[in-house]
Parts: sequence; structure tokens; C-alpha cells
Amino acid sequence: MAELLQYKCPCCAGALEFDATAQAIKCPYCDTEFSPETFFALDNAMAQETKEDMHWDTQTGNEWQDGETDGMVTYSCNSCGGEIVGDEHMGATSCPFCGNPVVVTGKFMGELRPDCIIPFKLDKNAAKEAMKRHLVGKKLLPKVFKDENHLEEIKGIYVPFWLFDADADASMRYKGSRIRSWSDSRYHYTETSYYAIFRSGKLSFAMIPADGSTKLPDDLMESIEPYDYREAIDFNTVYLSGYFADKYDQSAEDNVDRINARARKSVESTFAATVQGYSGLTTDSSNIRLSNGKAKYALLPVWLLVTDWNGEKYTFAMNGQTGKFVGNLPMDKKAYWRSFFSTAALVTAITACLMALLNLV
Amino acid sequence: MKRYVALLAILLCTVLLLLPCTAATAPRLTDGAGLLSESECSSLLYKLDEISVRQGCDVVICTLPSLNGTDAVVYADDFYDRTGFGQGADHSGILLLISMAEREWVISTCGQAIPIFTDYRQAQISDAILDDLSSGDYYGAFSTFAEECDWYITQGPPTGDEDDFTYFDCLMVGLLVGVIAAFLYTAVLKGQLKSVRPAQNAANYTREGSFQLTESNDVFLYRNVHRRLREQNTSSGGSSVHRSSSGRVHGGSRGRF
Repeated sequence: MAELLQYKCPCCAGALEFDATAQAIKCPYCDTEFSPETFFALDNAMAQETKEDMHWDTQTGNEWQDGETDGMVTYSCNSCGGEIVGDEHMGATSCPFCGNPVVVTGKFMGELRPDCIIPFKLDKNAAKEAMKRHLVGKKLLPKVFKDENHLEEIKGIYVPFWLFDADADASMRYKGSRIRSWSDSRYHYTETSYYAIFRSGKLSFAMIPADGSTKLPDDLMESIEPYDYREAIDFNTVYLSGYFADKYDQSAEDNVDRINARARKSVESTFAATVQGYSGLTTDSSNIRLSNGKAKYALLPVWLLVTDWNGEKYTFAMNGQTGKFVGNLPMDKKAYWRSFFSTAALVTAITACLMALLNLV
Repeated sequence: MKRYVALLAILLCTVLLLLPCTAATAPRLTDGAGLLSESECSSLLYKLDEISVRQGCDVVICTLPSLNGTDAVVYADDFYDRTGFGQGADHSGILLLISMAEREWVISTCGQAIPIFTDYRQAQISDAILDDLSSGDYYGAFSTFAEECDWYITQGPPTGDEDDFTYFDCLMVGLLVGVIAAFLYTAVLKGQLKSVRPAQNAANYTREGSFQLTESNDVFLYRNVHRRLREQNTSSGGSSVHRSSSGRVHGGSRGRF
């Protein structure tokens, strides 16, 4: 049985018809006309669009070799349930996530062996200095907050990260408009021309990081990016001595959505930047296919400090390689309103006086 | 002797002929409604004449018992035109006419006075005299009118909107700017406390030189043309105008008291 083909109008999405008198394809709903050539180009491009595929191969990591994990033990926190790995000589210590004491629960076993590690480059003193600097010059920070910080509690911890590589093939379709206006003695004219814009191409990503720990907020870990991966080296347990290592409790697969969202944004903005000369631009379709997607397991260095203040938990993190320090701070509401009203009063007075003066001149 | 008389007659005729060109034919104060005492009349007339001659722009006041059904604006314009007020080729001047029966006031402007007395300034003047008119202090109202006119004619046409600000406006605008500035400033201070933000993209992790465009194609689809009738140029100086029965252009405003 013959199949009825229907083409949609790019202007109003109505069903298009071939107009025999005009020898053009015409939309009976909005009266837009296309030359057959234009329409074929459009139809061809749309037909070539393939299914989106953002699938990753997340098989990663190696098995540990015999004897490699001998000196490593697992500590667990009875308060928050955090499990960390350290060497057996660390003794009594507190949980880097909540500050409560942790106990050795047994020899480290199982899990995957990290592919690579970036060793700590900045020591505890540097982290303490960075924390102090972080509190300087913030007018709305409660004064007592500074004094109540337990800087000694700052801990170096290797955080498990999944590093994602992939090549992206993308096909984008946009609708763009250009506006031209002119006037004669009676009328102002505005002409809007619409274009279908096609862009296809490739973009590759290397080592987009996503932390594999539920104990650490994702946005906190994203805020201390980027790490310089040129300093990443093959994993060896020797780097762990004196530091904690967090065990991953989120697999690479669990982080795929986060990574896809980031990759998509970058692909879309990279391609959109190649479309120029239009006053209006909307994305009609964005089709991204990933290939060679794979994830690596890495340990990256983070200095971590958890503080309780007025019943709220504040977590600070420093990139153990670059020294980038982040962490939201509490706000002194009284100081906020003081600043607000004093600024408002000052600016009001100055503006009113200036206007009155200009008025008199 | 006869020759002297003829000469004198010619001289007199010339003076009489010239007179309407240099001065108004009727007094600049016509108190038809009898609202002013004689001494008030003469002192006001003296003031109006002095201002009019000094400024080169007639300032005229007329009171009526009743308009007898004529439109106040039409009456004022015709009164101004027919009596021959106004100085210079464009008959510059301003007239305040009040009619007691209708308790209506009209301001009519002509010539150079049109751009000087913008709608806004006329509203300022009427605001200044309305209380006195309502309470029956006509001499006070007319004196204020004469002084305000004198002041505005000295100012000339407004150069911008800057004289349209009152101190209250200054304070209000200042308050608005102040609150906005305070919001922005405290938002900056608040922003200092926040350093944790989720990453939006992976721009740091694109492989250098990996971006390749394999297709780049812009296809023209269709165009729409909209046309809009041009607006005819209306007066933008802030003085609305109309034409009197004699065809002369007048500005003005009206109201009740």
C-alpha cells in the first residue's frame, strides 16, 4: 500500500503541499513558499539526523595485586557512616566528613585499584593559610566564625574521581532570523528573513572529572576544579601514607548523567559559536553521539575541613594540587541590613543632592 | 500757519498709525467682572505693562461675568486676536481669562509665548494661582500670574526636562537609585560568601584542536515584511497647540476654580 508522505512546514509545522501553479512547495496554513531546491536541502539534512547516543563504556580500573594492600586498613565512622582508607599507622583519628572519631574496622580489601593519582603538592600549613585567607575581607561574615574554626582539624584526603574521555559527534539544527528595516515617505518596513542552519562536526573531551563519593557534595568537588592532569602518575600505595583515601561509593555509571549534561552544554555552546550574523537564534534540534567513551579511576588530592556553626555544617575544600580554596560561609543578617541601609541612605542622599544641584544650575 | 497745522496733522496721523505696532490698543487688564478695586486695577495694570514692555511679550488678564455660552478657549483666542494683543510679527503674548459664571479659567498663548509656556509650565502656573482664585483673592492670583509669567519669559523655552524636577522628585529618584545600589552592593557582599557553584560545562576538558566542523550550511527559508505607517511629526516641545477662528496658532490650557 502506498504510503502518504507528509512534510511539515518549518514556519508553522502545518502539512506542506506542492502548489502546481507556483511550482513551489507551499504551506496552506501560513502561505509560506519554498523553492523545491530549498526544501530538498532541508529535508535531506533532517533525514540524515541519526539517533542520539550518549553511552559510555565505564568498565574501568584494575584488580589489586597480591600483597599491595597489606598496610592499608579501613576506618569507618559510627556517626556518619563514612568509610575511608588509610595506612595502619595513623592511629586514633577523626572522620574528615563529620569530625567524629573513627575506628579501624578491618584490613582493606576488594574494590578497584585506581588507574592514576595526583599526589598532594600543598601541605597542611598551606591549607591552613588558605583557610585564613578565605575568611579575610568578607564584610558579612560573622566575627565569631573566624575564632571558632578548628584549623587543626583540616585533613588531607584522596578523593576518588572518575575521569571521562569521549569523542562527540554532533549535528545541530538552528533556526535563525535576520532583520532589515528601511522607510519610505509613508511607511516603516521591517523584513525578517528566516534561515535553517545546519552544523555538524566533532569535539573530543579528555578527563572530565566526577567524584565518586556520596559523602562529598558534587558542587563542592566541581568548584575546586580543574586539576592539572599532566602531573598525574600511575597509582602506587606509597602516596597514600599519611593521608586518607576515600572509598568510592558511586560507580562511574552513577555519574554518567552529570558528565553528559556538562559535555552537552560544551558541545552546544561550541557549535552555537560558529553560527554568526543572526539577530535571533533558536536551537531546533541538538543531536550528540558519543564514541570511544571510557572512564578512568583516579585519586585526586583534597584538603577538607568540616565546621559546625549554629547548628549548620560548613564544609571547606582545597584543591591539594593548585590551592584553589572554596566553601560557602555563613552570613551575619544584622551586618547585611546594616550595609543595606547605610548604602541606601548614602546613595539616596548623594543622588538627590546632585539632582537638586543640577536643577538649580 | 495752515502749513503748520497740516504738518501737525500729518505727524499726528503717523503717530496714530504707528501706535498699534508698538503698543496694545486695549489695556492689558480688562476687569469686566469687576473683581478688583480701582487701586488694585491701576497697580496691576502698571505691573502688566511694565513686564510686557520689558520682555517684549504681552501679559494680559481679562475677567468676564459670563461667557454667554461661548467656549472659553474660543473666547480667549478671539479676544486676544481681535483686540490686537501680542508683540512682534508673531503676536507674542499670554492671556489669562477667567469667567465668573462658569468659574472657568483659560490660559491662551501666542507666538514666542507658545514654546516658553509649555503644558507643564502652564500647569505649574495654574497650580500657583488656583487657591487664590478659589478663595476669591483675585488680586493675589493675578499678581502671582504676572510674576510667574515674568519669570518664565526670562527663562526662555526649556532646554530639556531638567526644570521639571521638584525636590520631591529628586528625593524619590534618589531613593530608587539608593535602594537599587544597596541591593547591588549587598549582593556583591553576599556573593563573596559563596564560592561553591556546580560546574555547568566541560569547557576545560575539550581536547585542544579536536573541534572540527564537517558541515556548515545556512539555508534561506522565507521572509516576512511588515510595514507600519510613519507617525506624522507632532510637536515635541511640550506645548500643545490649536488654531483660533482667525487661523492663528495658540497654545493654552483651561480649568475650573
